[in-house]
Amino acid sequence: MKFHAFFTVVSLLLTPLAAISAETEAVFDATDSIVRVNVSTQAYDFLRPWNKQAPQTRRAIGAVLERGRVLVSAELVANHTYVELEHPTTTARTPAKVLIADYSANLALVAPDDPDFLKSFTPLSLAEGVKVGDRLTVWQLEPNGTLLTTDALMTSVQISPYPMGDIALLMYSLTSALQGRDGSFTIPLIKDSTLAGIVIRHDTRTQNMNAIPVDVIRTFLENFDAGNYSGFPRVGITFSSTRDPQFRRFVGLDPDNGGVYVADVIKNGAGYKAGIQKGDVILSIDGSTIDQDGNYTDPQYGKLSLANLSSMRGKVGEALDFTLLREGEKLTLPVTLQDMPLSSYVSPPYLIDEAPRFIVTGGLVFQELSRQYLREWGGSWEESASRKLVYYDRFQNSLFPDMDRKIVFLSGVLPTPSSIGLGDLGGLVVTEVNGEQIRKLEDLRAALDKDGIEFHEIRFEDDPKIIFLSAEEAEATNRSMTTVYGLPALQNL
Amino acid sequence: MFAAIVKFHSIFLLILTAPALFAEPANVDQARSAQKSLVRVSSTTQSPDYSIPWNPGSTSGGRGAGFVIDGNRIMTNAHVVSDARFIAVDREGDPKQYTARVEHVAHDCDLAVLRLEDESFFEGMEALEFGGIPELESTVSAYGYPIGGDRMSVTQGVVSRIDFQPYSHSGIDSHLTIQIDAAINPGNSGGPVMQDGKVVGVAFQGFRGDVAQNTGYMIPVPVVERFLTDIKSGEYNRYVELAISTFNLTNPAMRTALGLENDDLGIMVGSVYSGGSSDGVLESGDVLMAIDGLPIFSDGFVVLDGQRIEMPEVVERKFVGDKVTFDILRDGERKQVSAELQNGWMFASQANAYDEKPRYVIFGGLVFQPVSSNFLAANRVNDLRLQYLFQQFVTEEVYVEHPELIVLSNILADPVNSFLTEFQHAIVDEVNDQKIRTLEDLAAAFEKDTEYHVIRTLGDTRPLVLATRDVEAARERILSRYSIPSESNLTK
Repeated sequence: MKFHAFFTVVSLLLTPLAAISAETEAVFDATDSIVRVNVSTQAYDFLRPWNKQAPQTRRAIGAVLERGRVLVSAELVANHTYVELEHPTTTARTPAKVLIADYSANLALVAPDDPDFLKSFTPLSLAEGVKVGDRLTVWQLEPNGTLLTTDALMTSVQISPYPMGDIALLMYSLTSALQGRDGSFTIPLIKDSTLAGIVIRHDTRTQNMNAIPVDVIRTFLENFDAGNYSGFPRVGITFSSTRDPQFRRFVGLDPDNGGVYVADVIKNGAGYKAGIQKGDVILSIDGSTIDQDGNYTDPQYGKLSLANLSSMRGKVGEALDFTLLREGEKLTLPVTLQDMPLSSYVSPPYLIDEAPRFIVTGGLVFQELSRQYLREWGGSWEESASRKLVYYDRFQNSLFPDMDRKIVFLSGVLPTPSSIGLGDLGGLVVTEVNGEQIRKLEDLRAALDKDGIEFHEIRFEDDPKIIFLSAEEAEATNRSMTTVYGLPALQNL
Repeated sequence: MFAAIVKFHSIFLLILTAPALFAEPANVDQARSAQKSLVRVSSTTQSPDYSIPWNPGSTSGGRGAGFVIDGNRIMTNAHVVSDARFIAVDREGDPKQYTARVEHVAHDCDLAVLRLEDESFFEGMEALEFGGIPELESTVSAYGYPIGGDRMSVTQGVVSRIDFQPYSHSGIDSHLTIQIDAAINPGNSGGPVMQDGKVVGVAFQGFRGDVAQNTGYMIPVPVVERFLTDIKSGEYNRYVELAISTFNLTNPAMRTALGLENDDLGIMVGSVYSGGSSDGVLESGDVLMAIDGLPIFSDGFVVLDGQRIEMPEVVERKFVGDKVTFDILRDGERKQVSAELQNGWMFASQANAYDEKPRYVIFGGLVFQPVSSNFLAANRVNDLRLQYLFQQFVTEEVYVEHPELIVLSNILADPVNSFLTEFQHAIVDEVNDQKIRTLEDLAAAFEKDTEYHVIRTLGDTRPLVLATRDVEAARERILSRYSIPSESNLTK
């Protein structure tokens, strides 16, 4: 988001520098490997789940790949209503469709409706052997279509959280005096005319830049080509450093070796199914020795967190050997990798390209908790949204270990004849309606639709604990919601 | 708000007193008797620092007003004398300073009674009498020593509103309050507000001028008299709490579903907090129809002494051990239940505390403290779990398992704890497999003769392990390095 703001604001202030265009023309003639991607987006309004927000447009530079595909960040195409490709020099345009968007890995593939559109382009191949200290190049486009290149020094590689999902993957950090240009929502990072990454964030003040590495891109493409795309795997464990000598003695680790302590195992995760337990010490994964901080030595990038092994060393369905120390005994467990589909979350980290689920009855608005809903409270949503709902979202794995439910809550009340005296209620977690446990919105629908109910009895975890709603009056109110509040529908399941 | 009078000394509030104040003869008499009763209370305070709990805290001073009541006593606000180390009292026309001590203080309703070492102070002074609740729009006069000059000041205004308001001194208590439009400024605190020669309130708080104008608040006589009655036993036993939440029943469908008539009576019980006065007496979903025979309206009001007033006011006037009787409707059946009233101890940590020493335990350079309003005001804590558990301490009945939330508040860096920074602001759940419910539990657990002390914190972290011999070796080193006089304080 910071990235977006920078490119839209600063681009108005800066005028293209002629000197740079002249220089770049001498160095590269690579505009036939990149293409402008123009996207109209319209996000859903999670506070008024029957509404969409105002449309926006974003412009980015996509990397043309083999087989007529264009690589961009998933953020670019989130909630897209229209995508088009634009030739950098001729400005010829064609509608395009999104082949796949993995919002956790923040990568998407776009293809033109007209298969001939990219015929004159030279596809970029994926870079090999990128390492810390490399001098890479960022490709942008001037308004007139000429290439603007900027140097970028690769300063570090680490495992860091990606903007939308809740997965941490490999990420490049670079330093670059990148300039603002229109249409630079995401831009390619280049090593010797091959694709080294996708720049997703740049801070004008510190000149720090983040890019999704080629390794993540390669895995993403392989997963897509394999068909039936299943995101990046994870093991589902939380680990702690074992540097503390008192702790090492207590657990029975000798002072010199490595290994990290398994602090928690998510129920039904890959690690759990393989038999990893709380208190185990992980000594190595797939032959790579794990040190006391949970790092291994990557042949290409040096020290990286073991999380990179589980997300990149194998694909979903493949197994990695974990060598553990349990009560003084060494044992090796094959861990069959699995991903964590969005549907398996109690409170999904994002909901994109799909309308929020809700039920409105008698003016009472019920929704399912998601981080997307909480994000409606803005940049500091963790402070400003309901503390209870934020807490439920953050600690969902330990609060609801079976992860077989959603959190249905009364998000707000539209004043109607049925909801007199209830107008102040909001953020209340629903437990039971008409005697039925509520674990997802469908349960609520079924409970409300039960025959012979005179008063709906709705129970909450929170005060006032219980309310009643006249079924007949709610029906009458529901019929008027379209005309009174302009609701296009009373539910979306 | 006036809670910290000290803070207001630097703020200029340019409010002039009303002219022609002494025009009416009746007011001249009143002013004379006020003058013979009014005192200035200057206190030197020392408030502990909950981020360095072993330090005595820094000193500052404040000034407020007070007035003589029967029995050679001086009444003032609790916030005028909270955390006081030295209190001096003086009166109009006497250059001498008299030393006072707090006899009783009620932080939950911001009142205090002082005694003087030298009772010759009271010679020539008159004890003021208390009146009742003044009528709306009737005129009252406030006496005190507000900023803007040194001598007694009088301001006059009318009674604007009578209702329940939060008392900012404790931060969580609400009682009956009277709003007046006489200028009430820092220094008025503790001074009498009078009508017809009698005290009708004690000035205590107001809004800052940039928030609202002409809104001063006084503590009305029912609250003052409750305090004076309570301390007759020789100690102050604080307010009693029903420890329930209620929900107004204005929704017609809710009324019908609960079996109520269309008569605008009854409120519903939401939560009944475990261990509170109503535990075992009331149930969630009960409808409260009447309290001590007074019908409860569906908006939560009752008519008491001819005044429409919030239902809790009936309970407010009672004392620890008193009974309250409810007519209730439970599962369609009307019945009468009664509860013996006690303090709302589960709310204590959420109130601002005064005249208490911070409690703490230091072990291996780790500082453990109970989470409280004072603790959070002094320590910047962003930990979501801690914030959530403190906020929901009562509503989610966190106190049942953890009557005190013990937090690892600080780490005094030492080789024994070099690798424990990840645990800062973690909440202690168990030590050596023993549940930690209070700070005393923690101190006792650390006494255990064991090779390793194993501390389990809430959340999915590794256990925090301290080797007893390493802790012992570090003990004196840490105390002397950080100038800590004592490893623990368990008393308030």
